[in-house]
Amino acid sequence: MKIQRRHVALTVVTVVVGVFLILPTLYIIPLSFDASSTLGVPSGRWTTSWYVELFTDRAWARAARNSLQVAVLTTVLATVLGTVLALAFRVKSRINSIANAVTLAPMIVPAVILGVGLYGLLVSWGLGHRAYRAGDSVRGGRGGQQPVAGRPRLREGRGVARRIARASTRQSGATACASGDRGGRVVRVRHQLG
Amino acid sequence: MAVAVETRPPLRSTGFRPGRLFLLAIPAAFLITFFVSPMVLVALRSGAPGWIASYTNILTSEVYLKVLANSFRTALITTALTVLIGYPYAYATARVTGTLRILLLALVLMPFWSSLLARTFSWLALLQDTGLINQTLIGMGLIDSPLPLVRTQVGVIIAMVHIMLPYFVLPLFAVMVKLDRSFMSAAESLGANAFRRFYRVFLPLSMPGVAAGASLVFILTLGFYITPAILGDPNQAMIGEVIATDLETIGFARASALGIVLLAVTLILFAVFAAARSAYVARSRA
Repeated sequence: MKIQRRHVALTVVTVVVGVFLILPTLYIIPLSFDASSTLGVPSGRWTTSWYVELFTDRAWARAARNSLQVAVLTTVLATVLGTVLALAFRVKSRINSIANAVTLAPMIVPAVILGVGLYGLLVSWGLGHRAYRAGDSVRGGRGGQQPVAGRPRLREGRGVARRIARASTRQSGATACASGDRGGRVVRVRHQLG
Repeated sequence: MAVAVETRPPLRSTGFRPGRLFLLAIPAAFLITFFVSPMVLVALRSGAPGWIASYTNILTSEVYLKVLANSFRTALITTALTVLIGYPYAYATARVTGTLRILLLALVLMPFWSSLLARTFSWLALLQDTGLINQTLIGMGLIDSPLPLVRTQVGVIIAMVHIMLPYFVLPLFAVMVKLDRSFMSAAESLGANAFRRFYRVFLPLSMPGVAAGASLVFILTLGFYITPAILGDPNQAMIGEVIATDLETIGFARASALGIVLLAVTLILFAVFAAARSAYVARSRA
């Protein structure tokens, strides 16, 4: 493609932004084969042991299963509810503007507030760990995929995310100022590196 | 006539429609249970020891005010940078066609589809003192000691801009692609040069996409938790982290009250934003 002169600046910006977008995603590929247990520059010694651990460690398998379960249930629930709503909105009516405001509201409310509320509600029902599904579906229905930030103390919540957080805490020799299992922040990493 | 029935525009419903009501009832029940009632719970419990006391505690606390100010500042900077670099990227993506457009879209979608946590840790590996960026710069002799890229707001903002770019670029791209090109041709035939065509025609027409994307980015950034927890300075925590910590250490009431304060400030900002937007629309129509 021929680039006109007045497009040079645009091309440069686009290339820089493109590299910025893809770099972190690509960078974890060499890191995942690196023998060194610190996060940083690949040491040059390669290994597949992390993958062996990933596929043989039962805790990872359980975490992956949990994540998959949450993802599938959230997707199904959000798709069904979203489709039903879209069908309802097809007919113009006065209720629409109210219903539309209510369905859009979860996007305007910062996730952490909804997280706190759902946590309180579900704990009062004795269902602490169900908060995952409900919280993600409420936001997922409108396409937000931000984790519900206020998901603390979900003891059953051993998702892949938490495993990754824990493993990399261990891996990088950082001290996890871990309310980890007990208090249950998803991750609270205090790095003492470099 | 079947065709006529199918193509007629939706009618304004006047009477009672049980089927439609039923359709609305299912999602409504879900939203009332899992969105409205937790929000009501948060509002009610936020005044647990005493309404005045619990809110004056927050609004007079230097720590909380600092955290709030820091959160909104970080969200504003992140949003501004996302708009600044996301706009030209979306513009370029909308301008090119074929393989190049697919490539540019793939570059946005790849991070969008990969895990937030994995990307945050990848940024840690890139930005920390022993990370790729600092080691490369030191190796090239450009700097003597590592730049403070983690445990500072710089790292948090870099990572958050990266995480937020798809949320901005994708809706903006959708708006730009649908723009009627004949407006640009009309401007050209009336003698507007390339800059004028962009500034007076394309930019205003794409503003709805910018507004939608930017407000989404702003809200998501405000609620951020993982990224500032991993990359940020613990002394410059964002409100999401503080709410989560207070939920554990102080209790539900304090976390709720903080949440309500955050929500109130967010809604005020949005009202200001909406007012400014309608003033802008009114002025451009005049």
